Amino acid sequence: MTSPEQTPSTQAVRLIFEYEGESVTLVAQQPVDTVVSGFDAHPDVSPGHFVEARDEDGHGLARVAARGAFQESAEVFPEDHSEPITRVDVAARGAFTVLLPAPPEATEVAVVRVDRAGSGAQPFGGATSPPPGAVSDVDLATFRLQR
Amino acid sequence: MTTTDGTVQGRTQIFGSAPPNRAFSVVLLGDGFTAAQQTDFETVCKEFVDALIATPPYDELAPAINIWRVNVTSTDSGADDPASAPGGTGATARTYFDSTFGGNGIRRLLVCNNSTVLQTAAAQVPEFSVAIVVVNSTVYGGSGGSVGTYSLAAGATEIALHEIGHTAYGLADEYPYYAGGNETGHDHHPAGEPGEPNVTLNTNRTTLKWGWAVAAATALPTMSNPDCATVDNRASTVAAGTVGCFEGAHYYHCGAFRPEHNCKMRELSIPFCRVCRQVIWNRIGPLATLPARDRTPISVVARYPEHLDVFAVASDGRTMSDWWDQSSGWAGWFQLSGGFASPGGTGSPITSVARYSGHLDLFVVGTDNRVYSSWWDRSSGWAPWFRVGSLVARPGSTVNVVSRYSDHLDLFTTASDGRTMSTWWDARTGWAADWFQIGGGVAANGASVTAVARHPFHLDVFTVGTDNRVYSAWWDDRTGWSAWFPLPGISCRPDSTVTAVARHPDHLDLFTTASDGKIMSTWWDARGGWASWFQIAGGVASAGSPVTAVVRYTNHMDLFVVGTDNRVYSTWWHDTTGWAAWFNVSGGLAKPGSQIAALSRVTEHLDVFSVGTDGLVQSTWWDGTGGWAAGWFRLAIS
Repeated sequence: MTSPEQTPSTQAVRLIFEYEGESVTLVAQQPVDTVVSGFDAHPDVSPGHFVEARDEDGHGLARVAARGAFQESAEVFPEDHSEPITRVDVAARGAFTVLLPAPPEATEVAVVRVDRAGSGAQPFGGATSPPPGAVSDVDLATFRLQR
Repeated sequence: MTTTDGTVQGRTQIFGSAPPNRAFSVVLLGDGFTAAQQTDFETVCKEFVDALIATPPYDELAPAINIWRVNVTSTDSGADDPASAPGGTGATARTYFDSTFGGNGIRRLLVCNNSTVLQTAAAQVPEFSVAIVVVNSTVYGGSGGSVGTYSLAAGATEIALHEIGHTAYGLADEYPYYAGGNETGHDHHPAGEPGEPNVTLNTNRTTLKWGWAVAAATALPTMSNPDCATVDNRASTVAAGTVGCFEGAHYYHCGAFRPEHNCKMRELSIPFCRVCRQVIWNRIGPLATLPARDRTPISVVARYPEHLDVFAVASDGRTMSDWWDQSSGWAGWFQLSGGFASPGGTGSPITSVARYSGHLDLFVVGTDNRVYSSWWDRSSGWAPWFRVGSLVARPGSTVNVVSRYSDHLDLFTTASDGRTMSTWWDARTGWAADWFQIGGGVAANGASVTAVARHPFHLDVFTVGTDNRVYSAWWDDRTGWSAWFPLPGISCRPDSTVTAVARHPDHLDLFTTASDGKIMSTWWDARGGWASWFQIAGGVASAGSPVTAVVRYTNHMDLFVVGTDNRVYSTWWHDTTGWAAWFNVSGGLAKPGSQIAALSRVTEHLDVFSVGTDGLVQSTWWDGTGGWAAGWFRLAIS
């Protein structure tokens, strides 16, 4: 019987990616002794970009949001704070990082774009089309984890 | 203009004492500060710490926050300020992170080499949560994304606080325009619910993602934009702090709603709204231990043997939960749907029941002394708190719940005038019309009404009456409610709890404390009726501490209580050996008069919880193979 306190912390890995458009490269990875709270380790399934740890068979083990990644606009802040914050279009180029739970069986990580079904080229309505509001995953890149 | 234009000097922790692997860690990195200007950077960092920790809810989350300063010297002072951006001076500066104003031709857009920043932060503080670059220039500017930047201009710290909202918590922008409000193509938000927690297209009260924060009297939508061709700049039509649905958010004039009229995610220098504060709480709060109300009982449920759900009330009244799963450890404390518990008496506890493994029902008396319920279902997550009937309960009273079968709940509590009250829920008919008084009974001040179901169609209930005697009543499907009758032989404290367990359908064991603190028991058996009260193994409890009983087998019980020396004590009864002597559990101490929660997930295992003398929720365990754990641990995240 496993007792509550005896459960070992899940190992996390720090990953740093660089991207241009949706071309993404992994530029750094390092194990980190830290917890990843449920807030980050159990994100809602919603459109956006995520990083996922997978086992040898490609099964997802953990997923965290890639916040601040692949941004195509930037905020411009007013010096007078009562004035509106505005956004401007920018080239999607830069870097982002995640802390990802990496259980021992994790062998690779994937950068995943989650689309709202129907937001892409595929129209709704076919008998096999996903229902409006459903989401679908697109792998942008996968990388081996150094264990 | 590369990393050859400077040197990383090292890191210094400037705020916090949280364990590094259980902290929300902010890293501040300087750019454009020469070796001679490092003290300027350090001064700016102190100002950031003061600003962050003074900003709700960070002010309450400080125990889980660490802030680090990474000193980096640059060859030159300042940042690039290209003349190609209107207002730019054309200045250039050789700096480590390559900071420059004038991003996209806009002078205030201050950007840097994010990859270098992230790699530097990771090398210095591997567990960091967010990285922020402070640029040594008095020109106003900043930017967000994966790295926040801000300059030394007055008010620029607000940029960092707003950007942390995006980077650390995934908060959306709540402003209703893209380019200031005069743009085209932003009249109506496109279809598709945004994933962020603080904007929505949905104004249905029952499914609104922040429905828990909306008062029943608040109209939804709360404010609608009368002209979607432009931004609604009217002042709020409701009181400040009202949570509802205010139209205009997420870069669109209409169709998207924000929780309050204003918020830091809409306008700098404004406090975070209630919903954003809760999101920040839910990210950082689970990293910390929980200061709990000293004497408010803890509730614990095992929906299945490899899982625990623990419910406690924070010292400020927040309704909190933590869960443990054998596969993932402790999740960390989080607030349940924004709830607050009544502070009267020992404080209203959260009570819980699992009618089946994928479902929890919770009950509490709120700060308005009404009874509230929430539920969690594996398929839908947590529901908002809702009011159960019209009862005004005694401040701080306990709502005890029994599930006689999986489609039925019976609730018991005391009204503001002490009447012993009940109501029920059934899957076929929903909630009963309202609460009703049981058998004309009135409970002593602070007494609770406890209940046990020996059969699916029978209930036994217990309380301490106004004469401080123990009383019982029963309900049977065939005969209805009986009158209350006394179980004479002891006089109790008015706020004593009568703990009842049914080891088998024809037997009851009761436990309580007498007015002199003696730990007393009696039993009822279908063949012999009620026995006399007797003291258990000479035990005396801390004043007000209830007796907790766990039945691991039909012929074995374990008891827990806080003793007069505030140590946590246990004893057991076995049919062949009788009552054992009381012993101290793993060296544990608890708050005077507090309760010990215990349950058995499997027969050879006990999990025990209490509020320690430091006010934090703690736990230990017993296992048949290894005995009691060596000590207690504080519940947080693991």
